[in-house]
Amino acid sequence: MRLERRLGQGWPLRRGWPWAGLVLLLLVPLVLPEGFYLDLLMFTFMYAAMSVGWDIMGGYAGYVSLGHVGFFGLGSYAAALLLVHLGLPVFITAPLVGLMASLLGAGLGFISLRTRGPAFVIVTLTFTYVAQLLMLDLKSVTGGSQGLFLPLLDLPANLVIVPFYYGMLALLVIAILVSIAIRRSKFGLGLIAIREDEGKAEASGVNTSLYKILAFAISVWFAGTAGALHAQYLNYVDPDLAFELIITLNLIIMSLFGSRGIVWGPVLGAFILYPLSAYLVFLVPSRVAGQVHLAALGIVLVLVVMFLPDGLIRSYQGWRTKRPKDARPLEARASIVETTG
Amino acid sequence: MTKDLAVHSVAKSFGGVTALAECSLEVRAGSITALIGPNGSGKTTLFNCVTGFYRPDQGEMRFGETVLTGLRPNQIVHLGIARTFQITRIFKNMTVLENMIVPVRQLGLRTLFTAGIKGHERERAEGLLEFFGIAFLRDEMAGRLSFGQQKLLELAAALMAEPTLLMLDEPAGGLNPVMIDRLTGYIRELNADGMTFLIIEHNMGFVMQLCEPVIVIHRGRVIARGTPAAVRANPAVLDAYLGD
Amino acid sequence: MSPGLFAQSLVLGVLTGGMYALMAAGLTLIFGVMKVINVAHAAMIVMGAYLSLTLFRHLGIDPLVSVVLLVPVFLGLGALVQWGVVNRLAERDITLTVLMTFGFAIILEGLQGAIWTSSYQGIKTAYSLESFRLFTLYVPVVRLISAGVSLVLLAGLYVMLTFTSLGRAIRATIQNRTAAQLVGVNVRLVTTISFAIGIAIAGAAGPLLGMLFTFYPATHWLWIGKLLAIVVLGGLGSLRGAFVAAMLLGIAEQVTSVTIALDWAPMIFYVFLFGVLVVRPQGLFGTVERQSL
Ligand SMILES: Nc1ncnc2c1ncn2[C@@H]1O[C@H](COP(=O)(O)OP(=O)(O)OP(=O)(O)O)[C@@H](O)[C@H]1O
Ligand SMILES: [Mg+2]
Repeated sequence: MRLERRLGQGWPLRRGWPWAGLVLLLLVPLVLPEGFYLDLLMFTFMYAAMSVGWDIMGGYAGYVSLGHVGFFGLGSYAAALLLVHLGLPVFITAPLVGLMASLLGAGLGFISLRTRGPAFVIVTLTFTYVAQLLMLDLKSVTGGSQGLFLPLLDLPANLVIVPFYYGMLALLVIAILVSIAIRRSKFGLGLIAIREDEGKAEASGVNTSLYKILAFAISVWFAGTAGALHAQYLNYVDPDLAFELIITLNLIIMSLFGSRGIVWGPVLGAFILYPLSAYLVFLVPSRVAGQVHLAALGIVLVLVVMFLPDGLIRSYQGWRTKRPKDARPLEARASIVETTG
Repeated sequence: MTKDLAVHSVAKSFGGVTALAECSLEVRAGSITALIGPNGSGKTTLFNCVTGFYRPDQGEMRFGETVLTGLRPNQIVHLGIARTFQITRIFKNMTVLENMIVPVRQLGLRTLFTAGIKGHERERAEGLLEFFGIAFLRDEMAGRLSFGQQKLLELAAALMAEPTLLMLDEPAGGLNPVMIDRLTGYIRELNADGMTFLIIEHNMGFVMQLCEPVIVIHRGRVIARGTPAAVRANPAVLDAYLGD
Repeated sequence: MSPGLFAQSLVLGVLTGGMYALMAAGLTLIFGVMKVINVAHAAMIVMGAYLSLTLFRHLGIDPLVSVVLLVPVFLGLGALVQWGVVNRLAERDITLTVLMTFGFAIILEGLQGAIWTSSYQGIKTAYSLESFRLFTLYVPVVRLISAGVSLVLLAGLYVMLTFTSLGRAIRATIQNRTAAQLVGVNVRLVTTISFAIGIAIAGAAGPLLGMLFTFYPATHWLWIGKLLAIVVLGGLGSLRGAFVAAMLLGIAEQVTSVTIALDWAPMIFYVFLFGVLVVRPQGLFGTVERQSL
């Protein structure tokens, strides 16, 4: 229980190993300039950062979003358009694109988070499709299904990945710091109160709608920003690539697998699952790889939901402390108090 | 600066069931008012209307000069009305201290990222826990507390919102006599400091020794109001309790 | 828009709306008893379309016959899945249950892609392209058939819900689960049966969808959006509401595709969906009450 609280509040920071890990990751491109590993790590960072973001809504507040890739895709398009039309480099616009995603998230939150119930699921579920449809139909701006080509970065081919590597790493560091800060703050406490018992939270004076909307806005900033960087990384965006369903699915699975509502849960999930799935996809014949990958991820999601809903970290803690699953009252001490009051 | 609560001909029905019908009553500032009535007479529904959980079909509710109708529960808390629930509701997977911090007024830009539990809020929380004799449990998961301790925690947490009117839904329900005595003492002490109470309770002994006035509702209407003795002697009240 | 064109849109809209109503009926029924959005609902309908396609191609079985064949299969599968996995989870955690149906949707999409590839398909029968004139109006035969089949099935559902004791138990469970349990309804069984019926309706709608529209594995995202718009407009859990909303949106879609552009017709659903959620989250027929004790 102690351990959980410490982990939940970002305890390892004081221990230093995350900082050591960070230094190590900072050095990787210098020692290991091979594209393959940098690419793998970069995508791991990207998924980890977005998962941590997803978890601010899905883990702390308990509202699972089925539409984060919508923000990722719109982020890709926004960054692409800013670059193509105004010549603004993506590495500068990415955080602002994230802010646009946040504003949009706040708007969708206003539609769907003022009441409890299924509205949030419905809106996030349909939002991705709407976004995709819009990008497809606004042909004059977005190029429709042709997509948009982004000017290449002016770097030698073997170094091109380096700025993306550091960019995604920075995004991950920000995500973790923000998540820790929220977990420690009264805001975070309010979100957890909402997850535990929303009616009671409201009766305690928590402005639940505002909290949820704010949490969602923060949550999607990471998806929007990552989408922006990703567009430049591919130098291309089209409606299929930008709104790939697998992205949302990955975020959900990584958060659940690592443990929802714990800062390091989604990070752990991403660092285990992304490399693994990259390796496994490698093994499947490419003709059906996409389909099999999708089905396999679906199966993984169902299995995790059924058998590991608490995730690795929380399950490990439960196993460590071996406390009974249902909380029992402290009878022995209770009797002392109740007679001496 | 404490205020009266005035409920004026509030009605609420669920499908075909009329839970409240033209219910009017008043809770004077500084009183310990009891709300009693047979099961299903609409007491909890009245609480839910006053605290913004239900929107009444008709009628008006005021706290001092402020109209409560249409406000959300969290806004009503910040006007100074806090409540507890008939079935105790606490955040079982939070520590006792965290439970105390949730109701603190919050969310300026600063609280977005600043530490949850700090300074004078922490002192106030600890003071209240001390007052209710559960301070030694402050770092315990709230779900592990005994039933009586959970009820005290819910009460203590409600006080963190700095209410002037505290609405308790069956606070003595399920408690042993020793705990009930303690609870009576706490309520008296808080009332002496100026806190107004509106208490739903089935335990007549508790009501008779603590509350004045006593309001009786039956089938969603107020049928009697007065001192405990007067209410007890009122034939309409006896009918209500024995009638069905 | 000329009156003639409007009348034409009206006819097409009502005919299409009939099938939309059938597809949405299962979704709203399942939500009613379980309070869970079955994210996989449209993927199940598309699965029905693929199965019907295969039966038609390889065995020459007419899609209308496969409607009859698929109903018992989907009924059984629905019951099995609900009883085996969904039920246990749904009683513990609604959020996880929604994620589970999301997982189902993805599995179905992936499977369909792996088996039937991701290219466009359609079920082209001998009468696919036939149509006739009614006064000045153009009436495609398949739309008429699918609307007819849908109405028959919906009428059956309506009769079952209104006049049988099972139907009463289902309606009681939708209205208030706890109260239904108190008066002796076996809500678990009722939930399983309702879920199975919902899935069976999805199975029946599959071949109809396959006859009327082209489809591919990812089309279910389009459809789940349309169905949610219908179900939300009608009030979640309300069959009557879903029926009216399906007609309204079917017509609105036709009118949009004629007056604005074909590409934008699907958008009309989302406009309604988001609009309704902003203005009246409980839909046209629904009621909401904050939960409290
Ligand atoms: N959310 C609801 N939906 C439907 N009916 C309700 C709801 N809440 C209350 N009722 C009904 O309204 C009536 C009044 O209920 P209420 O809970 O207010 O009674 P009460 O006086 O608090 O009873 P008790 O002493 O048993 O707590 C009852 O018939 C109850 O069944
Ligand atoms: Mg009550």
